[in-house]
Amino acid sequence: MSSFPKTSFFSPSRVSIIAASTVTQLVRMKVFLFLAPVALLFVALNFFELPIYQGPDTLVPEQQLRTHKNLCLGTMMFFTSLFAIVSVALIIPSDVEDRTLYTILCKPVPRLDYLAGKLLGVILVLLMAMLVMDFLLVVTLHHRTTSISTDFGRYLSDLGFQEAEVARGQAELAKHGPTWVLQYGVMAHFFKACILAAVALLISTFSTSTLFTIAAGVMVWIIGAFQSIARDGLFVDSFAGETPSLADKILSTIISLIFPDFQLVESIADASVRAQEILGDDILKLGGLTLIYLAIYTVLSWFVFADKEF
Amino acid sequence: MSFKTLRNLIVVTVAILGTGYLRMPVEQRFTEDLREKKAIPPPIRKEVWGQMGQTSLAGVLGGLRTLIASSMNLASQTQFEEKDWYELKKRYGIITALDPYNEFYWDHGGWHLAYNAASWARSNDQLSPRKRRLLEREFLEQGDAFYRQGIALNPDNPRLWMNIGRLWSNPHKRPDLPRAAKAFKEAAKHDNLFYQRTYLYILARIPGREIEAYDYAQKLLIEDPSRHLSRTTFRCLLFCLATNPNLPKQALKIRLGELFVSKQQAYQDLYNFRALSQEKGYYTGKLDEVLETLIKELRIPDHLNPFKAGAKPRIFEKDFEKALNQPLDLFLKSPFESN
Repeated sequence: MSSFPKTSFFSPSRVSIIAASTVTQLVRMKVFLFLAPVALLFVALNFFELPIYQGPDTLVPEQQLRTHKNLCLGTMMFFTSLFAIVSVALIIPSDVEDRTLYTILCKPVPRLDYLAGKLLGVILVLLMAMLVMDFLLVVTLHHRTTSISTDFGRYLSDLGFQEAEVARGQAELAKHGPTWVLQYGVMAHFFKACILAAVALLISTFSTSTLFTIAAGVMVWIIGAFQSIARDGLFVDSFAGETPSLADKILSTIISLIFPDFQLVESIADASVRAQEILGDDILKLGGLTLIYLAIYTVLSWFVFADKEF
Repeated sequence: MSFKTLRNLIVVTVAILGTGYLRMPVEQRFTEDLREKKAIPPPIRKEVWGQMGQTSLAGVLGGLRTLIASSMNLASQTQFEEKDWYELKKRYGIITALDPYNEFYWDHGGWHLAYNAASWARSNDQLSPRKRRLLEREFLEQGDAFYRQGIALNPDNPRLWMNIGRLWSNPHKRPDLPRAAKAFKEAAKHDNLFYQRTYLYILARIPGREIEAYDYAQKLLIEDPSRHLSRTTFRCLLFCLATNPNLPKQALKIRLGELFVSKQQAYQDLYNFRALSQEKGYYTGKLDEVLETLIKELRIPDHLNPFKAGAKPRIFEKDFEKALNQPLDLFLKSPFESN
């Protein structure tokens, strides 16, 4: 009598196969087309200038680079966050609709593998999109930094500054160019998109409609941006300058416990735009927190999805 | 809702609350750590929330604080062009609340108030002279206050102190040199030679503080002689300050040859410094006496003699060489006496 081989609880190879098929599925949806307007925007920013120079220690050249980085990172964050929510919201209903889900689940594929594979697939697509946008950011910012630095050097020389001082000014300006610190900001936004994808996965296991998943995912995105304000009210004495009432405290506690804190992500990204060199350990901590969020939401998604009937 | 769905919801909610309870202190510690490093801005004040429009609110809620600050800064050009100063000030209040650690916004907002708005008030023909003065003073003070708010949040940054100093030492505004000196002094506490020299120059413009200026110049000279002495204005000013008859007897006297490579070079630099002093009001000490001596010694032609040809803009090396018919790089073998 033949016996069936025992299916392991979790298999990285199965997860990677499902992830690869998810990547193909998303690529066929032509999701990368959104990179075209992004590229256009990044290139167009090179022609944008702040008009006023105010003296030898003017902040205008730095601000031009900051504006460039702000707009690029903001665009990257917006697209990846939205993409994370929408793609996850679409992917399970799409599998149900074209009956791919049945062909997968009738095989000895644990549902945890299926969910983890789907999430990993979305994360891989997010990573690819992020890498392309990051490349565009670095190239355009490098071009911009070089051009602004040359102009700034000429401006300082015209004012009578010595060569060494001009070089010092340009070195200061180069900190606002494409540096490793800026990459921390890109990573922070990638982590945020990953968390949002995991949140959307959890919601989609409950939800019966794609629209609801997207709407709820966006709400988590918004509330997550000021979750820390609520949490601060619990740990710090004053809440927006006032002592919080009991109702405020209860609401703050619920918000703090349920929603992820995206202000941590934003602050690291903003600090990277300001070229603040304090972020090496912080990005590791943020990466650790992201893994914790991914683990929590994936396990909970599995719990709900495990006995779901189709 | 089926029993299973309800059960799942309850279990998921409890699990999220439980894990949230565990991660909350970790996130709070991380937040405080980042706040200490000034990566997280202070909470937005209640009144600023009330002033925010839909776009800025959406930006804050979407986690795009700095992006919205950037775009609001660009859009504020409209208020500037329309000379809507009160709206402009309100906008910069929001911008700096969104991105308080970006000194550019403090710098730019203060500049709009203290320079653009104040100049508009000063030259507004539709107002009475008294009203003009009052309004100008109001905008100057608002600009000063705006810079100081920025300093409170960015104490390690000397540029905003420099802006306050420049504002109160600007001859086209309402100069208040002691007030400017206080600001430049704060900027000079940071390790920046340019800021330190600026503080020296303002001290040398305030009557009665020449000895303080001399002491400060000596201090700078001890700290970094080569880089300070490479600046012509510093050399000339140091020389003039050293000619002050009220200096204590033990004060170090400085000879011309210690600061200039040749008498010709000394004459050219001091001639130019004299013209600059007439514009800026630097202390000149016995500068005129020294120039007169050099005129005799070097047989300076009348058109380069400020006492005969009157005050002229600065003279350049090639003009000077041509007039004296000799190059300026004649290094003297030994320092020569001057005073």
